[in-house]
Amino acid sequence: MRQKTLFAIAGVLLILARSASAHRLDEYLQATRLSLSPNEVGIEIDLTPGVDVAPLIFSLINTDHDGRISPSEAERYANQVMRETALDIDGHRSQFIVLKYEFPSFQEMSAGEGTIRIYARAIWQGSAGAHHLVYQNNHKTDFGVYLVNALRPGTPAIEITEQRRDPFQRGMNLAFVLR
Amino acid sequence: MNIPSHRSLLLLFVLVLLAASPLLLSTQRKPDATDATVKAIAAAQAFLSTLNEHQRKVVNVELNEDTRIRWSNLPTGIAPYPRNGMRLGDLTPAQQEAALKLVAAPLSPQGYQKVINIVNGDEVFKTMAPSLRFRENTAPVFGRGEFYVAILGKPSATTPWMIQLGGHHLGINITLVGSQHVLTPSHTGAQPATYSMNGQTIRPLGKENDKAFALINALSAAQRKQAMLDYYVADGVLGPGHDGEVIQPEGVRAASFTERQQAMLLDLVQEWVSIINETDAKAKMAEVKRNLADTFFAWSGPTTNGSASYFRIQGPTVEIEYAPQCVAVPCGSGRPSPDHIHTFYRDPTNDYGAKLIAR
Repeated sequence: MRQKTLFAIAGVLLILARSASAHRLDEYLQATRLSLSPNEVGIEIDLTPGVDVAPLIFSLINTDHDGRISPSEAERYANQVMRETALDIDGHRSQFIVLKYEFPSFQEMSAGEGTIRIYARAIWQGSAGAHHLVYQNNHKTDFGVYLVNALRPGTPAIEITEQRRDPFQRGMNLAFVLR
Repeated sequence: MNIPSHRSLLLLFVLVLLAASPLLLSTQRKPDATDATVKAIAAAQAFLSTLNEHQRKVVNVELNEDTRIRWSNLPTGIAPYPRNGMRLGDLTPAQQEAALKLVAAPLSPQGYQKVINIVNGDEVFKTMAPSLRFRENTAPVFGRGEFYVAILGKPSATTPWMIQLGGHHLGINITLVGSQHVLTPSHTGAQPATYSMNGQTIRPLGKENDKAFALINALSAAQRKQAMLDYYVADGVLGPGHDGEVIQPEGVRAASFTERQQAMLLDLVQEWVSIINETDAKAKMAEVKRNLADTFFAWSGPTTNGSASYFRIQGPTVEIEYAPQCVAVPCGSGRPSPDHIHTFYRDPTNDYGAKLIAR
């Protein structure tokens, strides 16, 4: 009986200790921003692994296990993330090309707040008229949480007329007009 | 020696009265932005005079594009970059008092109280979070002493300068440009969202929460349908590191609101705007009101007060985001909690006083 009570108290303390945590633990936050211009789609993805999943993500990136992310490891991971996204414009698949990336240290990732930032773009040549874009993020869907937003176009030549997302923001459909 | 006549004395009295009249008027009127500038400069000088040379160098840094963006919702230890300025905890009580007087100078009394409630809330949170499971070398640190105060640029009545107070769940960035003061971008937050102190129940962001729930419930079914985002919002999108980004607006347009609903929306916006002093807040609210027809209100989550629901207000010159965060374990299934809130307040045309500086 006494042992049960001790276990119960320990359990409650453990829950309290963990629930007091102010930041992500076992999720991999992936926030995407899409920007449209008349000849390309820009994308910025911020990837922030929580404390519990940071070692796993770090080991996926740090393939030589030397404890540091080398430029080639960073490039490989950035390309992998972009390969695991899909972009269709007017029913045609477009490929993102990685432009640049920023990686935090393992210490920062271990704190659950180190953010990997990837910038990429996909080229397209749109004619005047209505267009439809479909974006989907398929990276680490087992513990990913997602945000996806379209930035307001920086030119009056493009008007976003409709935006729809799936309930968990892994994907987005955008209707837009190019003038 | 001639003795002045009664007539001469009367004339002299009238002349002195006339000469002093602007001074008399200025002391009788309500404090305005100019007064706030004068107060802020005096408070900055008073604060700086309490510091030694090394401390002054740390507190008073250059104002530029790299320094002004050093604010975060994160606590010391895991913020992506060191904050500007000095920790309150490294200042003497007299220096702390001078620092807080500086912060208070351009703010309204209720705005300053909100700031202090957030700072005190983190002191309460410190007692709740002794067992945070972070690595030793990156341990987050909480509490009143972990808020940083900084002066960016030279305190001046003509050239731009900034006052920053930042820490966990707080990023107050005040840009002072002559007689005008800009609060955007700024961040307020709370965890816990409700706490007790000196026998009082404190809810640092309670009015924001309650007014938002009142508004969503005051909308018609059709308006509410338009306001509702049919997806889960796991985090904020207007936070630090996203200066200059404007997302495509969503939700219901306030042009469709009744007069009462518009008043409720303005009253909600005021919770952020009126952190700054009355004169600047009044001017900002007038601008928000002018653009009300093009302002959107979007909501994700339940509409029962007490729920962890996300909302966003987005107009041509105002962006406000209220984003509940997770606290439970596992975070994924635990979802956001009403007890852990992040809010962001921006003006896409005037963050860091850009519009005023460009003039």
